Amino acid sequence: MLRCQFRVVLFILLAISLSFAQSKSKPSDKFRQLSDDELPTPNEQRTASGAPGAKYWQNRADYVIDVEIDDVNQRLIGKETVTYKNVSPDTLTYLWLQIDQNIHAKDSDSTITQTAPSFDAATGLPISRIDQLVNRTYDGRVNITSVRDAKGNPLKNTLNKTMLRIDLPTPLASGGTFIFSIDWNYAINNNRIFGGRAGYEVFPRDGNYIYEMAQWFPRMAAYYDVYGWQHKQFLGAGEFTLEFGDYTVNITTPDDHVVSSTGVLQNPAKVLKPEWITRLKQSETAKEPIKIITNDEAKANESSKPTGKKTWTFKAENVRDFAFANSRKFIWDAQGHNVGGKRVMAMSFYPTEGNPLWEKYSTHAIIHTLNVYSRYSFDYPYPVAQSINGPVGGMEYPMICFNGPRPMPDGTYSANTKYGLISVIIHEVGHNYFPMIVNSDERQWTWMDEGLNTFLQYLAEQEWEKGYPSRRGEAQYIAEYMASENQVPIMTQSDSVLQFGNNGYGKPATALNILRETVMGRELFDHAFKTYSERWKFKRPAPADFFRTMEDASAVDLDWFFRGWFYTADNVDMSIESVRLYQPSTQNPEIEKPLLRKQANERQKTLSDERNQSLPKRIDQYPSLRDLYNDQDQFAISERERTAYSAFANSLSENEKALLTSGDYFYVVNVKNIGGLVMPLIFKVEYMDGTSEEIRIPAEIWRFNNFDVSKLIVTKKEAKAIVLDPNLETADTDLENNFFPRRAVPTRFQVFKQGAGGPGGRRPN
Amino acid sequence: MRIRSIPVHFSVVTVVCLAFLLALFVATPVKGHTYHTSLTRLDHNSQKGLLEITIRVFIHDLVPVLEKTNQGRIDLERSADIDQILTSYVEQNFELRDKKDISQKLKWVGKELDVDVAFLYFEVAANESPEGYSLRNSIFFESFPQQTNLLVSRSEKKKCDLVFVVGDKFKELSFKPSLKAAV
Repeated sequence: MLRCQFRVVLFILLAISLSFAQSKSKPSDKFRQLSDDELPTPNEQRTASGAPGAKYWQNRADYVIDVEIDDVNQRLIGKETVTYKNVSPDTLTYLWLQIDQNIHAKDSDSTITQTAPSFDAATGLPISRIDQLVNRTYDGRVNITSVRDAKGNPLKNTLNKTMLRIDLPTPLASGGTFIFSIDWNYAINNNRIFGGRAGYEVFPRDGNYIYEMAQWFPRMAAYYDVYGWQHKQFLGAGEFTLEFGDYTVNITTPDDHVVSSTGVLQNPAKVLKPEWITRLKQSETAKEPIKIITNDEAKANESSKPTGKKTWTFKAENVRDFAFANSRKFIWDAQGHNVGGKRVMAMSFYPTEGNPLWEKYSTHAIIHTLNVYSRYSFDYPYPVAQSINGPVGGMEYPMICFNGPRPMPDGTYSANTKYGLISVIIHEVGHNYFPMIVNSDERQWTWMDEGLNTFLQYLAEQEWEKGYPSRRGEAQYIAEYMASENQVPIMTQSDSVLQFGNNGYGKPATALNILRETVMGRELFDHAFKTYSERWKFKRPAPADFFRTMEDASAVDLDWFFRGWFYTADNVDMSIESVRLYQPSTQNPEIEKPLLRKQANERQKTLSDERNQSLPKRIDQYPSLRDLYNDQDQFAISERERTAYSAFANSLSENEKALLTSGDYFYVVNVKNIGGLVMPLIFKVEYMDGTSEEIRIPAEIWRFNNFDVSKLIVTKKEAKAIVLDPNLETADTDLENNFFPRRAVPTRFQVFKQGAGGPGGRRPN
Repeated sequence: MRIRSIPVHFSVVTVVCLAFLLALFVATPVKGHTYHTSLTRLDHNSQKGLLEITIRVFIHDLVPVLEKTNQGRIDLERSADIDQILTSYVEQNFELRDKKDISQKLKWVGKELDVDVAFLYFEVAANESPEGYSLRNSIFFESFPQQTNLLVSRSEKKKCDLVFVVGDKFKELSFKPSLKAAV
C-alpha cells in the first residue's frame, strides 16, 4: 500500500490560550439519547413513535350557553349547561372548572404576587397608575350564583381562586356523562386600564364600547393522561388547554350591536339587515373582500341608540373554546375562500379608527395565513376565520382573534404599524392550528404553541412580500439573546419562564427553522412537521410526542439537537482555532529539496540567532576543526536520493503519480465549541482566485469530542480564508472567531453608526 | 404628579405603605401575548474611547409607555421630537456610573425600528474598560411589574451578564472568562 508523505506547508496557530481543556477529560454526553430523565416511557396512549396510541383518550365537554352583555353597566351575565363526558379509564369524584376571569378580582394571585414597581425610577409612575392604586373600585371577581345538576339540585362546590371544584353526587365512571348548569355574572374589565386577554374599550369621541369577550365562562379544565387535572392557577402568562366539544351560544346585546363570534350564525334573518345578508351572500364567491357593513353605515351607527335587545345564536362544532366581540361601531368585511375544497369565510370587524389599515390588510392576511399554514400542517377545518380590532393587542381563540394595531388618528401610519398589524393577524389566525386544533397544554408548555406558531408565522410572512421584515425565525435574530447567561431552558413551565418571550416564541421558532434549513433539510422537515400536525389535530400532544414524531417521520437522529436547544441554556459559539495546510510530498528530491531550502531560509530568525551571528566562532579560528558535516549542503541532492526516487517512481501506477503531483491542498481546520451547543459545521472556503466553495458537515462530527474537532478539507486551489457559518444559519453568538484569518466583525451599533441611517434613521429593509 | 416626589413629602413609612398598596391593587398589565423584556449590548471601543450601547426594546412595550408618560399618541417614526422623548426616557432609567461613581452622560446616536423591536443607540465617552462601572436599568419598571432587563457585555475573552428586575438598583459590571465549554 502506498503511504503518502506530507510536507507541512503552512502552520498557523492562533494566539489563543489553548492550554486548558486540551488534556481534560471531555464527557461526550451531547449525543446521549434522550432517556427517561427527559421523556416519559411510551405507553398505550402515546407511542414511542410519537403518535397517539391505540388507547389514546380525551374527555369531552359540550356547552349550551345564554349570555348577555349589559352595555350600560359593562357587565356580563351568563348561564350555561355543560355536558361532560368522561372518556378516561378513571372514575372521577369531582370536576374542575377554570374561572380565569377571577384574575381581575382585587385580591387575585396574579395581583398579589407581583413585586412592587420601582418608586425610584426617575420617570415615576403614570398618573393613571397612581389612580388605580389609590382609587381602584373595579373588582372583576366572578359571582357564581348557581351550580346545579340536570335535575336542578344544588351541587357542592369549592372555589379556589381561578379554579372551581364541583363534587359529584355519585362518582362518574369511565364512559359516563354528567350534566350540570352554572349561573354567573361579573363586571367586565376596562382593558385599557386593567389589561387582560379580553375586556372592553370605550371611545371618548362617541361614547361607544367595543367588547372582546374571552375566557368569559366557567370552562371545563382538561383532565388527561400525562398530567391529570390541569388546574394550575391562572397567573396570566400561561394560557390554557381545554377539552373539545360542541357549543350553542345565544348572545344577547343591545339591538344596534353587531356580534362576531366563534362558530356560525344560526339566525341571520333575525339579527342582520336584509342588505347585509345579500352582501354576505355575494362575499362568499368574491375575489376581494367586500363590505357587509360599510364605512358610512358604521359611522352612522356610532350615533345610534338601542331600542331593545337582540339575541344572536352561534353554533360551533369540535372547538376547545369560544369567544366573541360586539359593538355598534363595527365595519364588517368578508370574503369566501376555498381551503381544500371547503369554503371558509374570512371576515374582519373593526371600528372606523382602524382604517385605512384594516380594510386594506386584515382579511387578506387571514386568507394568506390559511393558505400557508394549511400547506405546512393540515387544511383549516372550520367554516369561519375572523380578525377583530379592539383593545386587546393580540389574542387567539377558535375561529376568532383579537388584534390591536391601528393607524394614527389622522389615518396615517408608519411602516412599523403596518407590518405589526399584518404580523399579529398572521400570528393570531395561525393559532387556530396551534393550539386551537393541535391542542397542546399551553399552561404547561408555552413553546408548543407559541414556538411552532411563530415558526409558521415566519414562513407565512416570507411569502407575503419579498424581504418582509420578520423579527423572529432566522438564526441571527436570536443570537444576541442566547449569548446572555440569564436564561433558562425552553423545557421550563410557562409561568416561571425567565425571559418568557424568547423562550416561548423566538428561541423555539429559530430552533425549528434551523432544523428545517440546516439540520434536516426542507423536504424531511416539512414531512415530519406535517406528520406531527396531522397526528395530533383535535388531540392533545405533549413535548415527547413532538420530539419523537420529528425523528420517527424523518429517520434523522435529533436527540442531540433537542437536548441542546430545549433542555439546556447553552448557546452556539464555534471558533476556528487553527488551520494547517499540508501538501503531498512528491518524494522527488529535485522538487522537495529546493522547497525545503526555501522554507529554511524563510524560517524566522530568533532574536538570539540575530545577536549570536556576529560573535567570533572557534572553527573560524581553527579551520582544521571543520569536517564534512560543516561543509555539506544539507539541501544538495545526492545520487543515492536520485536512485531511490527513480525506483520509487517506477513502482507507482499512473493514478498514484497523478495523486502525488496533483498539487492538492490539504487543510486541517481545528474548530472549538465554546458556547456548548453542537451544530453542523458549514465552511466557506475562499480561494486566492476570488472564487469560493461551501462545505457542509453534519453535527455528528462532534460525537466523539463535543468540544474540539479537526476536519480535513482537500481543495484543488489555494485558499485565502476559511469562514465558519457564512450564511448565519446556526445562531452563532460570536462571529469574529468564525473567520480564519480573523476578521473584525462590526457590531450592530457600529454598522448603524457607519451606515446611511444616521440619527433617527431607519435601516433599509 | 409623579410618585418619585413622594419621599420629599411623606415619611418613609408612608412610602412603604404605598408600596404595599401597589402590590395589592395594581392590575396585571398582561395583554394577551405580551411579555416584557429588554436586551442591552454594551461594548467598549478602545480605539474611539467610547462605550457603544444598543438597547433593544419591544415596540409594543415602548409605545404605550411613552404614550402614558407623554399623555398622547406616539408614532416612533413620525412624532415630533421623538428622539428627544426617547433620550429623555432612557436617561431617566438607564444610568451608568464610572469607577468613581460619577454618572456618565449618554449621547444619543440614533434608532432603528423593525416590526416589533426598536434598537436605541447611545454612546458614552470612556477611555477605560467598563469593568467596575455600575449600572441602573429600570426601563419600563414603572409600567410592567414583570419587566426584566438584560445586559450583555463582551471584552476580549471575558463577558458580563446582568439581569435587572423591578426593585433592583445599581449593579456592578464585573467580567469573567466566557469559555464555558472548558469547565
